[in-house]
Amino acid sequence: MTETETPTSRLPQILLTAAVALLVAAAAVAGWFGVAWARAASDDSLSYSRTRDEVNRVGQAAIVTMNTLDYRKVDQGLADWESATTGTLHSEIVKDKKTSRDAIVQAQSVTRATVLSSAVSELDDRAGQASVLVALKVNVTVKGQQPTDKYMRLAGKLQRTEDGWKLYEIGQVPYLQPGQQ
Amino acid sequence: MPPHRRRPAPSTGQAPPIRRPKVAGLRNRPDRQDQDTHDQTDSDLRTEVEDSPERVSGVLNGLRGTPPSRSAEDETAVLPRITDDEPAEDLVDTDTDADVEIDPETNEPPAVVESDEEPDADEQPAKKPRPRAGTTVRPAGKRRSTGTIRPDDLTAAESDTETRRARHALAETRPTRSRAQTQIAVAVILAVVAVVLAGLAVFFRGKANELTSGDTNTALTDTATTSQIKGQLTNAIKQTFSYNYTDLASTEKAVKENLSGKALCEYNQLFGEVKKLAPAQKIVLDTTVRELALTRIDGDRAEALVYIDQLSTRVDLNKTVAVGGQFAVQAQRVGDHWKITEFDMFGQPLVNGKPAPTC
Repeated sequence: MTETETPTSRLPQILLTAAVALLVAAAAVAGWFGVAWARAASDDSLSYSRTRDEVNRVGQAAIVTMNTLDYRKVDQGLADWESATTGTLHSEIVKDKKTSRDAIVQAQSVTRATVLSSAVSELDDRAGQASVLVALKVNVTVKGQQPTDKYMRLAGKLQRTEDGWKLYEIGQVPYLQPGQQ
Repeated sequence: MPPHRRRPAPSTGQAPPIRRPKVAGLRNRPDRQDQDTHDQTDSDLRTEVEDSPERVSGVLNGLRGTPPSRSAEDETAVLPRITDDEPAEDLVDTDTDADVEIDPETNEPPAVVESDEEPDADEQPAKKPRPRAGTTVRPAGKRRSTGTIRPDDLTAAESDTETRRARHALAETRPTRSRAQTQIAVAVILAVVAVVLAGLAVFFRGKANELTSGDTNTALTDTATTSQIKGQLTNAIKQTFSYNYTDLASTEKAVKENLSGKALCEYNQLFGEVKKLAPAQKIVLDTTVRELALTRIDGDRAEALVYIDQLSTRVDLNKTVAVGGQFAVQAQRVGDHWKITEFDMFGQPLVNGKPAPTC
């Protein structure tokens, strides 16, 4: 070839080589992090950890819901109770709906719960069962009375359903009375 | 036309006399082989323009008018021959030159531009001899040579028309440029793909980090540590929150072993009064941990939610009071031991009505 062609054909060649090198490097890095992501996504303890956080979040919300009712929005409140629960607890709420409603409207009570702290105490990911502890401060206002703060310690049990985690048990944790132990 | 067609049929690629323009130029050459190669090249070129009758007529017209411009043509043709390595190419160029000069007379500008290929069209019927001439190798050689010879031609035929020079430049640069362009195009595509992959890498990295380093809480997931902390904290709380006026030393010992930092200060505020009154009132404070669950474990630090039951007995009055309590604790690992570093009473007033301790 003549001298004129060599310099003109060298630049594209260099560019091509550089592009190939760049491509290989990018592919390698992408592959590396792709594998890292895949491994993280399939990591059992990580998935367990995510479930724990989900249970904690759902449990808090459900227990707050069950301790929050405003007689002015009682139907909404009771509907929230229904949607946060499952099993026998759910059936009871549905069954006692009318009595609860009347009692709340009668007392003109407003309760508002805030979470102080919460923790998942047990979690069986496979069985879809979990237990949570939630410490609440509940502000209670009853007709004609000053609002009061109640500190409550609650425990709830949750079950995984098609619509996510739902409460099937809830209650205050009682303390030992004299002579009980 | 008929004579031309007839020519190639019997030939083995040597029929210069029929193509008058070429003959005129070629006769001056001492080497017969040049002619042979020349013809071969022509037949090669022919393939590119096989189906263009217009061009054929154009060429014929040009050929008829050729003789006047002969002398100029000879010069051009002879010069390239100095580089004897590639005589065939030289001739091709010469041939082409002749056509170009002639074409303007035919009043066919487009034909002029492409006159490069016209000689081939002229010899269309002579396809048959081509294979014999070793066509398979030729095309590549032809292209290369067109480019190679050009500088010589240009310098030699400085006086030639602009059209011709432009056409030459075009013919010369076309193959080179297209290869370079292909390389650049491929390079650009690869670079784009590389950028996309780099973007994916960043995305994957973010996703992986989101799943791993974003979540450092090992409460429950690390079962061994979880049960270790639960056990130690349960014991620590039971021992430090229990009080017996007959055995104050054991409580003191437990406090020293299990509490540190801010927790010590908070503890003293919580139990200061009990400590003062305990001997006189014969107080026995029995504490059990009802529930203890870990909110989080983060390396050497942990946080727990605790529910305790307390039975407070005044032995002097033989009176027992039951109390339930809930609070959170912060703990830190020191060696193998988890020490309580902070109590969080959630701002609850104490049993005796006093505000929660603040340190």
